[in-house]
Amino acid sequence: MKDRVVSPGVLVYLKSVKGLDAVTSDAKQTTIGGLITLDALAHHETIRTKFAVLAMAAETVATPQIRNVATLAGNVCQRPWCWYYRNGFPCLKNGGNRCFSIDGENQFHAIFGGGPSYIVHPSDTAPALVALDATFRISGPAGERTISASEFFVLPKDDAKRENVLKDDEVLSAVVLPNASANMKSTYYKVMDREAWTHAIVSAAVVMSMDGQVCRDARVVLGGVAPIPWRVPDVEKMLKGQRITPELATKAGAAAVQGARPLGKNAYKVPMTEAMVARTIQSLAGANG
Amino acid sequence: MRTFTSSVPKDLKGAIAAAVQARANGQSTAFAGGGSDILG
Repeated sequence: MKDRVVSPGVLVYLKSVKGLDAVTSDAKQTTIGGLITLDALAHHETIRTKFAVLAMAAETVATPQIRNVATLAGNVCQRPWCWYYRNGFPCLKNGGNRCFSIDGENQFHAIFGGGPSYIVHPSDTAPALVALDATFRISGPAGERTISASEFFVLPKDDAKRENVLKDDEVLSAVVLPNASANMKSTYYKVMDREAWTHAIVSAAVVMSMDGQVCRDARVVLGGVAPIPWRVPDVEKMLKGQRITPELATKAGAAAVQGARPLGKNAYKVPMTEAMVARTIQSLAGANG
Repeated sequence: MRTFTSSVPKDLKGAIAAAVQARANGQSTAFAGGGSDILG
């Protein structure tokens, strides 16, 4: 509201709703209330031990002060930070008919999935949730519906005004994670243009089920490079059933940037993404050559 | 900044009802709970 991104007639204050910040687990799944703060999420014992990628992602957001008040649902649903959008340019997100980044200052914009808008999704927790195969619980006038995290986010080609499927009178009330197997490893790596309090230029959420050095299953999701958390299925297929070696990790990095379409000033993101994916996979698998 | 009214519901149903009522009255709605203005 401070940025005048929204000017509502009615502001519904959700912090007064009790019980939406809890973490509960049963034999099948772990449910996280949408109003849990990022600090509580990052320090929760179950999240740290079973879903490390999510705790790590939450811990990289902004500053300690902000993490003490910001919520998981708010982080997932936040609007983009494109400087044209935030500064009131009549862009596609603001109801206009063009994306000013195409011929403008596009250093931090999308290299995947862009067009007609080239924003990047700003959330750190969103790639982690897609990598963990989360399900989102949405509450609205018709009751409750669920949707997988990977189907929650919307590309600009489908709807340039929105980043997700939430309707105006719906709330992301909870996130459900399938319980992790004992041999699951996960991590989150974030590259920033300064050491703290900013968004990812590039990030990677990697979840792998390992049998010794052999990867049984993998989910690799990139942040900071596309209008939605960007899953790279070719990389996942490449890793599945294979012993993770430095050579394979390097090939996976190269596969991660296949199809990248950088704009005039953000081509640096391509080698950065390639190197980061390779290093993150290698480090998670403990493959040291 | 345009003026707005606050709704402080006790539960989720109340929150949704407040949003539906606002829309019925021709008003736009936003939910606030933390995180709409954060980095990362």
